[in-house]
Amino acid sequence: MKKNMFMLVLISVLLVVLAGCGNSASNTNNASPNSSASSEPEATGESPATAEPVTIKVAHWSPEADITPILEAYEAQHPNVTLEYVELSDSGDSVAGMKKLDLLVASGEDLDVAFMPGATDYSQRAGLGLMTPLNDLIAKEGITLSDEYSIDPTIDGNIYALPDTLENYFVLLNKDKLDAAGLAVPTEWTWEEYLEYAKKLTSGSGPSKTYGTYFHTWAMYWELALINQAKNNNLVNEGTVNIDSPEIRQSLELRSKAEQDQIAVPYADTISQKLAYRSEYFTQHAAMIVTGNWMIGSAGGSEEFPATFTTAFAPMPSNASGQPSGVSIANGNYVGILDKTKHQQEAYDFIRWYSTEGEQMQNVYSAWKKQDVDKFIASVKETALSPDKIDADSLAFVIKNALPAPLSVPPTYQGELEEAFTKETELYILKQQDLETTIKNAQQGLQKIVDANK
Amino acid sequence: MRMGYLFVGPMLLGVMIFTLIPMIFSFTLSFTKWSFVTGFDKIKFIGLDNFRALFQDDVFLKSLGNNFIMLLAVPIGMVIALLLAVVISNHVYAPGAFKVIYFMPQISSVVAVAVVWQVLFHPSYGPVNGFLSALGMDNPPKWLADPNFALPSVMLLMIWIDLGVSLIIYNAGLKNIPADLYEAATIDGASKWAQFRSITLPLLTPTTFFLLVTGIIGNFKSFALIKVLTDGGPAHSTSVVVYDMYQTAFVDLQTGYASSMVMILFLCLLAITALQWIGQKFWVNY
Repeated sequence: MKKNMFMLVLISVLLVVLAGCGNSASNTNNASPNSSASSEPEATGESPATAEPVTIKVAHWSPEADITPILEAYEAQHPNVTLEYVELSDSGDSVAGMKKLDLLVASGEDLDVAFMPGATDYSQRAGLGLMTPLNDLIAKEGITLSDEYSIDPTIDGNIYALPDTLENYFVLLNKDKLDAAGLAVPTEWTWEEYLEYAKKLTSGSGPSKTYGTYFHTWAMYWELALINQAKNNNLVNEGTVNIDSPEIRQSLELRSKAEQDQIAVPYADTISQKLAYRSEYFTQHAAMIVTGNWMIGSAGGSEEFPATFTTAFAPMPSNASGQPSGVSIANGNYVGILDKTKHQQEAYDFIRWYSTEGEQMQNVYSAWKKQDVDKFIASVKETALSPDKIDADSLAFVIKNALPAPLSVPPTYQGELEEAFTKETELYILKQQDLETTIKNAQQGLQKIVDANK
Repeated sequence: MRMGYLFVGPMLLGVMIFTLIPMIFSFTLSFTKWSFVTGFDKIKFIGLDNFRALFQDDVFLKSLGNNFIMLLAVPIGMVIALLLAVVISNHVYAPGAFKVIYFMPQISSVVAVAVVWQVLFHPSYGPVNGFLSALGMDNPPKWLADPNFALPSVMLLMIWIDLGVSLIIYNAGLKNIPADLYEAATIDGASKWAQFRSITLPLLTPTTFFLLVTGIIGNFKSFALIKVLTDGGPAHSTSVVVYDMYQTAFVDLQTGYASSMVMILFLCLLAITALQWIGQKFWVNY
């Protein structure tokens, strides 16, 4: 009994000591940014009007070297603000970046500004209460969001982030193959014509076969005839599950037809080999891909995938002739302010600047309505490794004639919906169940998720 | 005596902080609705709701089922390892070289091994299917891309990877069997098969028991191979509880729900191990 007591005391003493260590360690951690911030005033003291210096921590998954020039430009304009960059991924991987962000937030890191790659990640984190609503700050500045940005980030009346880059979708075509097959770059087309193109572009056999097209594993490739709709273009719109619809049926039939005619890279290869769309396209394994703006720069070649052929651009196909081509849901990166920040106003000023002028500096395709498209294209060509491999005429046509559909920000459980949906569509394309069963099961599965999240 | 506690103190402390407290925490979390990215003030106790939801969750039930199917890989792997161990220790030249060969997959990184097999299993141009179609098979299975074959393919790889360990341990077990037993049996006129059945097998039962317990626990927790090879797909056909838990906790950010999955996994493992300890009385000879 005595021994037990002794052990208990010993353990609790050790625990207290350890906890003490932990506390003091975290104290010093907390202190360091503060102390560095307070040592700043001498350096930045010359700006008279502004208040005391603040440090804003900005988290993004881009490599530090890409972001630093922009942050430095902002610091030069705002001497009282010090921006500290938190690199979420060393390879520019946004999925890994989001995991790191979650871990940092969970471990109490005092971040101020965070970027999120796409509406799904944005709504998930807004739904968890991580982001602070910006409504008051926007009202204070006196701007109308829809005049400034082409994406509406409102969730249930609250705005938790500003749109950063703009992503809409179009088709990338291998122009060399197109010329060889005697096909023109389409400016107006339907999915049916897309499949015809794919058929004509398919050539060769064996491992070096060129397929007409490649569909990646993302959920959007199972809803191609839905994401080119101007309205109600999500799996679940305002609580109503949208699976049992002509658009989803058409999307699935489109995929199945391409698979059966062997004009698209077989789905079995795609999943078992974990194929990536960049390598499929740039190694000329697939002649066309449906993709988004982030590939404009890559079309001019990158270190990993140099451009060996000319890339042309075509608008998103429509579902039937008579409907406009080029409609696609607009997605993009979002930038928000974390709920725990102590510098709301300064952080807001920064994200407003970043999502407008900062974007212009980086030459990304942004959701800011005042961006100069011609300047953007010119600079894309300037920075590309092989500028002559980008077909500027078709690129200009696609960008200027794009009809970004207003994105209804997806529900906070969008990730789960997509997972449940692709599970059924996989069984369909691998010929484990027919179309009707797929539609029925997916409709039920998604309804269950919607009900569980009510 | 007091000094004794002082010596085990650091270890005890480590176990408490890194194992015991997280375990209790996770147990508590399984009764809550909570996401680890939000603060502690957002924890909401919901009683047994998580467990109720679990037993209506198709993906979880499928994953649990896959776990039990995958257990088959353990006894199959052990039988192969035992046969190889007997052959290698008695009937081949350079047994050391063979041990190294069979141990190779174990010391290679799971990721590298998985990528190699991914290519071997390539549905259209892979060597495996090339061989099968050369034999005259019209429609060879698509292996990792076929919902019916993906799980057996993964099990095949597991057996192959874990073969080395079982082989080495069986080999050590074989060395411990006194040679005079075999001598006496030979003099009595026992056949090789009778010797194997009445001497080798019974004297190896402690080894078999050890391999079975560790193998089943390891098998239940397999994650890396599945993550790299199939991501639980196609259509959850290779998803297991640990993978589903990872997906729920770190992708869907539902920490509470994921914790309740862990509790079920823990109970399953506890029950299986308890059964084995009770069962060993009837077949293990020390």
